Amino acid sequence: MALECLVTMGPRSVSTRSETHVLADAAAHGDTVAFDRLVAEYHERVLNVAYRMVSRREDAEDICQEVFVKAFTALPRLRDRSQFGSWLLRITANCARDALRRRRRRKDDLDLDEIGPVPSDDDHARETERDDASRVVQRLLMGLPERHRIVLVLRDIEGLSYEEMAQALSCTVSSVKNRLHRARKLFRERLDPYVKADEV
Amino acid sequence: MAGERGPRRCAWALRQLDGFLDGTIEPSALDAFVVHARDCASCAATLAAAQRAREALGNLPRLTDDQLPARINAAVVRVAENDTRTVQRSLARLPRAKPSPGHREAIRASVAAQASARAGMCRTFGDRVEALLDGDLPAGLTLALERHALGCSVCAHTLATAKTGRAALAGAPRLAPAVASRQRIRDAIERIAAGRRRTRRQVAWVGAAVAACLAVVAGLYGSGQWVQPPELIPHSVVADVPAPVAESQPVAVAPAEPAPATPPQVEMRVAARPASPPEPSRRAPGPTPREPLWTSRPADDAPAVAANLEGPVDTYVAPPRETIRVASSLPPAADAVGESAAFSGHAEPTSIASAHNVTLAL
Repeated sequence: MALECLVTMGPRSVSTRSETHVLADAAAHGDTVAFDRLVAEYHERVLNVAYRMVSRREDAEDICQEVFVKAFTALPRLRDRSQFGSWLLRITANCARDALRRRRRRKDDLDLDEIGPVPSDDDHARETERDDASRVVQRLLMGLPERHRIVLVLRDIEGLSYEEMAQALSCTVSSVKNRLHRARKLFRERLDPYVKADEV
Repeated sequence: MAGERGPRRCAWALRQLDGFLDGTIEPSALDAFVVHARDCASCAATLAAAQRAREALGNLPRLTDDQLPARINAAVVRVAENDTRTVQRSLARLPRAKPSPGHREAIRASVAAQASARAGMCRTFGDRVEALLDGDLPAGLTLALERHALGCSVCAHTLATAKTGRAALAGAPRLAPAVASRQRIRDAIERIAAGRRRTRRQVAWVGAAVAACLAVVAGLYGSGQWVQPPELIPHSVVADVPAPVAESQPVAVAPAEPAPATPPQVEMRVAARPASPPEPSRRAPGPTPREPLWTSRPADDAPAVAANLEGPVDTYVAPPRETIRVASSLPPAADAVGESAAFSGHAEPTSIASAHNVTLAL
C-alpha cells in the first residue's frame, strides 16, 4: 500500500468573506436563491466533514440536509454573517455528534471493516491503491475520539486556520492547538505500523 | 691438499660433510674430500654416522595431509596462549596507576548525561515534530531537531510517519455531492420559505383584524356608549363594604357572647370617608335601580364584623372604587373621633376584633 499516493490537494477555497456576508444577509431575509448559492459553495465541505465524522455516505447526506435546513432556519439570528462558514461547520459538527449518539443508542455502531472506498476518477491500479490508503485513513480516523477526530478533519483535511477552527468549535485558539497536538500524536501512533509495513 | 692430514684437514672435511651428503659439494673439492675420508679414520667414522642419521630421518613416518593443519593449529593456539599468558604476566608485573576516587563516577555520569541528552532530544522531537512540519519553531530549534533526526533512526521514523500521516489526510479522496441530495436540500429550503411566507401573511391578517377590533372598541368608548356590564363588577369581599352616603351610621352588631340581662348592643361606628357628593362617573352615570350587589352574610359566618350589616348597605349600589374597609384598614388617627371603630356595651373584645386591630372602648 502506498500512503504517499494520497497527494496533498491543499486547503479547499471557498468564496470570500464579503461575498459570503452578502449572500448570508440576503438568505437571512428569505432569499432562497442566495441561500442556494451558499449551499452550492459549502455543500461539498459540509458533506465531507460529515462523512469523515460518521463514515457512511447516507448518514453524511442526511446530516448535510439537516445542517442546511437548520442554517436556513437560524440564519436570521446569526449576528456576524461573515462567519457563516465557521458557523455552518459548527452546526455540522453538532449534527454529526448527534448522529453518532443516535447510532450508539440504536446500538448500530459502525463496524470498521464496513468502511468502503471513496470513488475517484483515477485509473484502476491507482484507484485501488488510493482506496486502500483512504480506507486505512478513514479507519484510523474512526478509531479516534470524536473531539480529536473533528480537529484533524477540520485542520488536515479541510485546511481551516486555527481561528476558523476556534470559531467552528466554540473554543479558544490555544485549546484548538492543544487538541490538535494530541489528535495528531494519537493518529501518528496508530499510523505507525502501516508506515513500517510501507517501509517509508 | 688432497693427501694432507692433521686437524686443519679434518676441520675442512667436516665443513664439506653436509655438502657431500646433500650432493652440493663443489667438484674440485669432491676428490680431496673422498681421499681424506678414506685415509682419516676419524672423518670416515663421522661421515658414516652422518649418513646413518640422514637415513634414519628419511625413514620417519609421514603425517597425512588432514592431520597436519589441526596439529599446526593446535600448536599455533598453544603458542598464542602461551604468548597471551606471557603477555598478561608481563603486564601484571608492570606498575599500575591507581584511578582517582571520583574517576569512575565521573565516567558513569558522563555516559548517563549523554544518554539522557539523547533521550531528551528524542522526547523533544516527538513533542515538536508537528510544529516542525508546520514551521512554527524557532530557527535554532528547527536546525537542532533536523540534525538530531539525521543521526537518530527512531526520530527519523517519527518524522517520516508524521509526514505520511499529513499527506494521507490532506490527500484523502473527497465525496462529491450528489445532484439528488442538492435537490432535496433545495426542496426542503423552499418548503421552509413557503411556510414562512404563509405565516407572515397569517400574522398580517391577524394583526389587521386585531387592529380593526381595537379601532371599533376605541370608537365606542370615545362616543360614550360604552357601558360596563354589571357582571364585570367584582363581587363582595368580606371586609369590603361600600362607602355609605352618610358620614357614619351606628350599626347594631349581634353580640359575640351571650349577654347578661339587657340585650347586648355593641355599637360600631364604621369608619368612612367624609361625606362627599357622589363622584360623577363616566362609566356609570349614577346609581341605577338594580339588584343589590352587596349582600350580608349570615351571622355565624362572620360573627364580628361583616355579619348583620343593616340599613342602607343592602340597598346601596356603589361604584367599585368607593369601598372602605372596617377600622382594620384605617389609620387610627387621634383626632378622627368618628373615624375609629368604637364598641360600647359590656362585651369583651373578641378575637376577631383584636385580629383586625380594632380600637376597643368598653
